[in-house]
Amino acid sequence: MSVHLRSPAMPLRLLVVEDEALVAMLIEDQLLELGFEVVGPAATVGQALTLCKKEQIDGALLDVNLGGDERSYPVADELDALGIPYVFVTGYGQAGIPERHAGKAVLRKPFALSELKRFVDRHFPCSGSPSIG
Amino acid sequence: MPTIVFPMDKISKEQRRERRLQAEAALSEGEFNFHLLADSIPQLAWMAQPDGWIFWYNQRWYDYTGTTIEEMEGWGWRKVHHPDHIDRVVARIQRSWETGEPWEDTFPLKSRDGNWRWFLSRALPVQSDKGKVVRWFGTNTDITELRDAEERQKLLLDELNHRVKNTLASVQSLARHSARHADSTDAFLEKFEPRLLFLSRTHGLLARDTWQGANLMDVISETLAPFVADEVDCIQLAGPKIRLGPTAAVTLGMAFHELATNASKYGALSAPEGRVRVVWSLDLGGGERPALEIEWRESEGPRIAPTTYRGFGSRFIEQGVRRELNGVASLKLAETGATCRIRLPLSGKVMIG
Repeated sequence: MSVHLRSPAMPLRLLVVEDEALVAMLIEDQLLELGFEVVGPAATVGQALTLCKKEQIDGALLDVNLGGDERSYPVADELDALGIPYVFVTGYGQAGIPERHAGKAVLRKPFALSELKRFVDRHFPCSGSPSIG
Repeated sequence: MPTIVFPMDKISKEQRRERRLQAEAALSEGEFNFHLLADSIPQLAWMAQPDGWIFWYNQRWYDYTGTTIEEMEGWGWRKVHHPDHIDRVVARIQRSWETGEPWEDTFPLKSRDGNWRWFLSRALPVQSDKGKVVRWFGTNTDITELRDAEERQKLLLDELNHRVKNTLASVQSLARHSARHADSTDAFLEKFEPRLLFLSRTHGLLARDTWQGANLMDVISETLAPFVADEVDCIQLAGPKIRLGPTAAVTLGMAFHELATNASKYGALSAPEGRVRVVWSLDLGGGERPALEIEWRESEGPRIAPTTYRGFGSRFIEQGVRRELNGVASLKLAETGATCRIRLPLSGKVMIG
């Protein structure tokens, strides 16, 4: 295990998992505008898990419903195992989240830039703190 | 599971027979007509003595559960109940036996072939002139189909809610991207409105098939329709039947919408003699993952300076195809017009048929 010390100047790297291209572009642009780095966006569980392995990630925003029957819960499990904080982004609200992830914060689509900023600031470690990866 | 002990569980065979005879004696008058009625109704039906001892079931009960009166009488009915529900059912019915209040509950009952079906069950007390409960009459109505339909409806509503929220986020995305290089509200609206209307038409197409998906040919023709109002011949479409999942229909449709918008401003759709040909074919061969190949090719349009245009459209085409559909898209602007090649692996979002 390596300890990654983040300098305050480095922006947080946030994984975005969202299957709908238009919505993915929106979230990506909003995060960039807020000064974060974006990993992905990934549209499938497979893509997201690959990024979890390859990339340095400080936090993640997970769309719940990835089209058809695919849900992002396996990505949430992997992030739990890695100790990386994440939030769900969904149109459903808390109701659709299974019990093992029920405590996680849910950002409801659609959202304003200011809402996204508050949410990310609250749920991801601030850029000055070290993260272990 | 806590066991509830009934005083009647322990009584002897003789006592059981006696209780049954007592009850049957009371039924003698009009019995023939009664049984005819009781066995003809679509429900399972039963009768109990004031303390809840069930002494009679209609034939439908035996046909459904595959049991006998010997197994069922008294409190024997518990053995066709589901272990997850039995405690609640017993507690509630016991309360009615004690208070004389009508009983209603919903629970699964096991059929003779071991399947569980859901029943709405009700029992009403039959009272004497003096208001004393002399008997209970109960029915179980099969509501399995109704419950399944409710379940489907709930799923559809959830799905619809999800779609509405995602659609609003898509509109937000289009608004932000349309505003990016617009220097006036008119310039913004000129970009935004056609995109919004595209989204609306594609949703109309998807709604026709209850959001299961849409045909590639329909998606392209619906998307291009506003660009070819006068000259139907300027666009040619050809390819095998391909089915797209709902989000793939929006993403690919949006890609064609952006190509068509560009063509109508600078490319083949800006001149009367210009032509656009969209052809697609399947590449099933060679051990590789089967894929769909689509080509958009403009011709006979005004000569344009070959550049690479990097607006929202080109970014969307490249990123949408790569990220959402795991494919590749290449866009080239030649003097004769734009050419766009898209290769998509077949998946749950892009299917044959």
